[in-house]
Amino acid sequence: MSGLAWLAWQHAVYNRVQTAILVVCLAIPMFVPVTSSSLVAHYEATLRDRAAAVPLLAGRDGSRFDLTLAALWFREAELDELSMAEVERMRETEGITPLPMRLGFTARGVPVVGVTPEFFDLHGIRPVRGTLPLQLGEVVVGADVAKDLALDVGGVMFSDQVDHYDISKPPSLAMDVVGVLPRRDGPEDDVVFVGLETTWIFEGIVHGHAATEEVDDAMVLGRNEQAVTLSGAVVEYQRVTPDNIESFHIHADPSALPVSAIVLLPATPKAATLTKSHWNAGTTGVQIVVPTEVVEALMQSVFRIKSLVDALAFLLGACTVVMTTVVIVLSLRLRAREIETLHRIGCGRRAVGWLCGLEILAIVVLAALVAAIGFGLAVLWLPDLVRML
Amino acid sequence: MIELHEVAFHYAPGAFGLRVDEFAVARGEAVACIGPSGSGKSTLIQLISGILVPDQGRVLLDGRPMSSLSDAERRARRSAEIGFVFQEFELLEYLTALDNILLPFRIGRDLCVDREARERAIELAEHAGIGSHLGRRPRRLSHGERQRVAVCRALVTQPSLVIADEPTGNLDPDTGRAILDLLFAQVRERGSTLLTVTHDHGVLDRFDRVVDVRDLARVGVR
Repeated sequence: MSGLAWLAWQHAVYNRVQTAILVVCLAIPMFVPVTSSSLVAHYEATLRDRAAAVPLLAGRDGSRFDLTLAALWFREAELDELSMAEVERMRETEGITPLPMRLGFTARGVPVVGVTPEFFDLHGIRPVRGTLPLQLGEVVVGADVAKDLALDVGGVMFSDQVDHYDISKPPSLAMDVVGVLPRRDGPEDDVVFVGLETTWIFEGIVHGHAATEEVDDAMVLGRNEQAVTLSGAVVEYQRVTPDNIESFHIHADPSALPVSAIVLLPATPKAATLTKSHWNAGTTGVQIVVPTEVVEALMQSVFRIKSLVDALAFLLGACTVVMTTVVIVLSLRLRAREIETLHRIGCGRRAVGWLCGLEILAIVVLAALVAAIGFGLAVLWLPDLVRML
Repeated sequence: MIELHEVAFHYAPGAFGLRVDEFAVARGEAVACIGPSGSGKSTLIQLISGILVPDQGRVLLDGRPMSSLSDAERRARRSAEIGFVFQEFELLEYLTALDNILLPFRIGRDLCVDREARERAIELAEHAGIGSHLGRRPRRLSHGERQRVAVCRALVTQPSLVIADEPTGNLDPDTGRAILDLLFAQVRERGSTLLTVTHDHGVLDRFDRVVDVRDLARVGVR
């Protein structure tokens, strides 16, 4: 038997290209369904865990998927704005804690998420170094962002200008990196967090500049007892410092300040039901979604796609088995003389069968090994793969 | 050494068949079998070596019956006691010359590749003049070198009988002569019996006996 195994191995090694092709052809139909199942299971668990942490989510009427993906996974989406007035109205509802979020900005190409401090408590986010962004102009960076952009506490990160072709828009804001988050294998790794108010600086709604008394008279367009009107040419501060932080202010109605989405934390199921029924009545322009329900709907699509992938993998597997069988049968025909020689010099028909069987077995085992290694690597990179989806 | 008594064989009812009343080859004798195609030379060799089993009659090898053994026992005797040399060399392309020589040890039920077998294979190869080619695969050997490897493979188990089926049929005359020199030298040295099928009448005078299969056997369809 060992001699036959040795012969089978020698044949496989000598025909290594053909063997490798067969191994890969067999490994793929083994790898695909197992890996896709594992990937979907992991994806599903990750989505559900994340969704379960946010009981309710409010946003402007529109796609509930966009709203959920943007608010929970910080995916880029064109969300119509809510206002702080709606945040305050929700706050007035008994048993509801609203956590407003501002999305849609970037810094060095990385998504910036504007949140209130309670958001970090909700998701259990604690910096591995430094502190959370408690003040205007402070930023805390996700683990992968810190690594990719070589940022650490004490560093500076510039926001991306909202509009390069509109000079009335504010320039980039230099933000102080005050904290770095630990790697969580979640969406926090790829974003940076700032205070909600800092996002309003990006838009120019909040700004800081020298006191009107210190501004050149030529820049003063008008002055009365209530207000001083300055020229647009007055340079706004591009960095918040302890010296100028007091000068940052808004001119607009605070209740009109924009937010992108609002995470709602109901104290009781009753509060959740009342809030949903009120805001989803159809006249408010606001939708309140239950993220777990949205994720459930999303998973149904994923399962449909997975079923298709599984069916294709099965078809691929069946074709591969047929093709492999044909290749093996043709190979045995080509080796008829070799088999006859082995028989003549003392190898039994059954032993020749064993020899061929061992070769096929070696190919199948190698294919399973390749598939297992592929699956192992896929599992190893599963968090990254899930985040890529 | 080889005895056939009243042997009859047919491939299938109504198909080609062979009948041999008596045939014997003494130990150490070198016998050449001649005859045209279809005269039954190959069938005779396969009956003697136990690849085919006669329908009736007895085939004895060293006095022991070959025809009444089980398939496994016949294979065991074949791998241990009979060496084969084929016209087309029949080397395995994926093995080196050395591994081809050692092939009987790989597939033989009671044989294994040990140090002694390896040393014997190398010694044979050196005698055959292919000692420096042992790491090469058949594709990188000339026809003559391939047949030398085949001869070494036939002799490596030190068989009491060497059966050569047209060993020079695919070789030029000089190379054929050299192969026969090697074959004769080795079987004479070991006292083995040599049974050769050949169409080359120029080499017949080297054999102790020449048998025309037409005189020996009756062939036909039953």
